[in-house]
Amino acid sequence: MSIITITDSSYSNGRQIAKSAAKRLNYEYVDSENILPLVSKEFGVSESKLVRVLKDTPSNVGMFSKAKPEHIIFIETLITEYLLKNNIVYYGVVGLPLNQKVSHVLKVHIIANLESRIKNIMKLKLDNISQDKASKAVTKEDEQLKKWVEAVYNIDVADPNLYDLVINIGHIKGDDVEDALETIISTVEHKKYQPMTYSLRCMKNVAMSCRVRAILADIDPKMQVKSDEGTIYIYTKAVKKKAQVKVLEMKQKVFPMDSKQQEIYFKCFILIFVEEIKNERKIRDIVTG
Amino acid sequence: MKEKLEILLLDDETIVGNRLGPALEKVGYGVEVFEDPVKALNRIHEKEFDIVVTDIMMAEVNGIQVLEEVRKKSDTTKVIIITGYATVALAREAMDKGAFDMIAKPFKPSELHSVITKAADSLGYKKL
Repeated sequence: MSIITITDSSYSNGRQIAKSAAKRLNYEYVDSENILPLVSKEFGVSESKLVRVLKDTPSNVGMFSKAKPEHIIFIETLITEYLLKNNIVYYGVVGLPLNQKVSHVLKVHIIANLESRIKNIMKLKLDNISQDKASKAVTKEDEQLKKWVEAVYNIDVADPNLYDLVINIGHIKGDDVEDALETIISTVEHKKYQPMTYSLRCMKNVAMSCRVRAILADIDPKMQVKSDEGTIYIYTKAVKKKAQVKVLEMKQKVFPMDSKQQEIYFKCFILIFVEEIKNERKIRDIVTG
Repeated sequence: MKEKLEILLLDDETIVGNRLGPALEKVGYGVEVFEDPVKALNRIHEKEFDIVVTDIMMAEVNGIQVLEEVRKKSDTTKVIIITGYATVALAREAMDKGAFDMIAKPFKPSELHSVITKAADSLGYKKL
């Protein structure tokens, strides 16, 4: 009844390990790419744009070149709602910091030595890539991932504090991958990774925050949202003249959630905090529902 | 098999016992309420309860110590942790040491009842 999230350095076989773990545990496998058709359907954004937002490295100001930041919120929303089902192995970095406070999520990071990763990329590439080019490709992909995660979440994807398990599979051989798999399976079966009322509620809070952010993304994709057992705290910014209008617009968009969402989530009580951009005086608006 | 599920409820906040004790008795459980963890531990050593519901942050003895004591005495007693200071580390420690479940305060009596029902099911009691 637990959840495993797996990330990896490039060409370290994290995806293969995630799929094998799902198969062995009879869990469902999901990654940030195979969920894109569902995201596209629900939010009306083309899959090509969603793919771009996962591939493009955000520029210095945190903006994506082609796709929009809210597309990340849409993907996070469906991933976290997927995780509510439990018995899931999720591979990918989207939503990486969101599950930090959920005790039944086993967070795994896979790394391997450079030599093996170079061999791996040389095996995978159809055109005969030289060792030098393969080495550069591995380094480039690592840097891209690092920049992407830093720009979107302001964290270092390689920071071991983010994970419960960091597994160095050393050489990417069958035995090493199998050992990593065994470690993950034996760990997740440990009592401390079993869900409980508290952790299930934490997961629901995470998913509900994402859902509210997605609903309000067109108004302000940078707003902060925190859900606490149905009380939703929204922190946003606005110029003085537009603050009240923004709050009103937010109220109207959050209520009503559709029937599917009402089934999943708590009854809402919303607190919206608007920081006025000019004089930074805070307006507090309370809405009940 | 006993007719009535026996529960020990331990919380150093009077209001918790005052509120939850009668609510649980009303649905048919036998409930003993304690505010002092030392007295509760003495009672746990005297009598085998089906379920122990305990707070975590208490003076002298904390809820994890209560959990450990219960585990030493009985493999079957289910321990439910209720706390206003829930964290990932605490949740994992509690589960690791054999807690049945953990609920973050504040919660509704119906939520505790639902967890107790699950614990009772796992002990083979019919639903109340």
